[in-house]
Amino acid sequence: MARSVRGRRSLRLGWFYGAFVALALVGGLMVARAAGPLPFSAPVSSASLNLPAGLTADGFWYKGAADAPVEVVVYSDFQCPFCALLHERLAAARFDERFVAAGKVRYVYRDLPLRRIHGSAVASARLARIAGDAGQFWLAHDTLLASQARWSAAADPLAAMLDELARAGLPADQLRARLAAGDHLQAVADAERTALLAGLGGTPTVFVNGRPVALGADPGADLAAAVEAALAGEARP
Amino acid sequence: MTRRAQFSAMAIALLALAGGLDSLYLLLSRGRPVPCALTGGCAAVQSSAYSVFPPQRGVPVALLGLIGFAAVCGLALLALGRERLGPWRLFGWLAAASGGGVLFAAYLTVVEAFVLHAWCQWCLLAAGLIAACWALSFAEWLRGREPRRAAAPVRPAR
Repeated sequence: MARSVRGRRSLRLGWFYGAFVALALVGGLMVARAAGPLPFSAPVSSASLNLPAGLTADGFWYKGAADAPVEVVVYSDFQCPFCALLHERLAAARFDERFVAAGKVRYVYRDLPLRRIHGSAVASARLARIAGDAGQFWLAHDTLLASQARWSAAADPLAAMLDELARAGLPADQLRARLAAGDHLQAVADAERTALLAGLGGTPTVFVNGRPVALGADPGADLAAAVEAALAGEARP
Repeated sequence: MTRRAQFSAMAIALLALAGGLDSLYLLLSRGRPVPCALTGGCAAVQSSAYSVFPPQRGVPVALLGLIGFAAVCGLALLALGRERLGPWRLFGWLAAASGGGVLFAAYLTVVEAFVLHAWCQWCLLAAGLIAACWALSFAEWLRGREPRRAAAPVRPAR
């Protein structure tokens, strides 16, 4: 009798173990598949390169009309994959053409380099600012974000970044020399401190007319919707 | 082992398997977008300094989740075949392990609510699963203690 109960139990457990292993295998395969495609890489958007650009009073680059009714402020890190995704999806949503070139949006880039998890965050932020000194911030910005998957994973990310910037037409040797000279080190550190003191912990953190925007799987569409809503509502304070 | 305890162990193993797959998904998706239609804040949470532990310079929390769920799952499978492990009953070990997971999930949930102001549905799912594992194992651990308590009162002598 005891043996038959034990036999029944081990039979049932055998079924359970079998089903469990099958579930784990199928689940593991599904998860590996869902985790999906390789890191994205967006083309450089030429649209953003011919837009009016300038520096805000506190020294951050913007593109678009200075007196546009809506201000978009993006706290970003050139090595953050979601920032690259935002850049890619904004291009897909034709954000620059629809809003920035149309004079509806002033788009401000603020540095929030997450230096603890992104080893090249500060260097990339400085490179973009150094390019900005020659009026090429947005070219460097678009290039760095579009090629992030390549340089971020490279054995020597700095050399890879300079290669990408050189391919985009920027003078790599001069950028390297000015990076070595310490240009914009303090400005990026100050920007980082300002963002952290404001309580920002992640990138991209986006504000439309001072209001934070929740970004989902398609951050470009989300930001475009937030801008549409702001345009439909009140203008920038 | 009672039939109920056996079903509890099976349920815990399945819940921990689901939690482990959830953690594996987040781990493999690090640096990539994940669907986030329910809560909308997955990107903000995953790219934050709190996606690693200790914050900013530690190991990915998804990896810690995977290890934790694997431990709970292993203990639950072990509990199907034996009552005790060392000095404790296996449901005691399970309650302790999943209780640690619940505390860690609570920390992450507080960070989402009060620091990041963003919610990640996959993180909330993991928190719910580990809480369910803890509830089941703690209840079973308590039930296992009952006979000893019931035996304690001294019967009056006839």
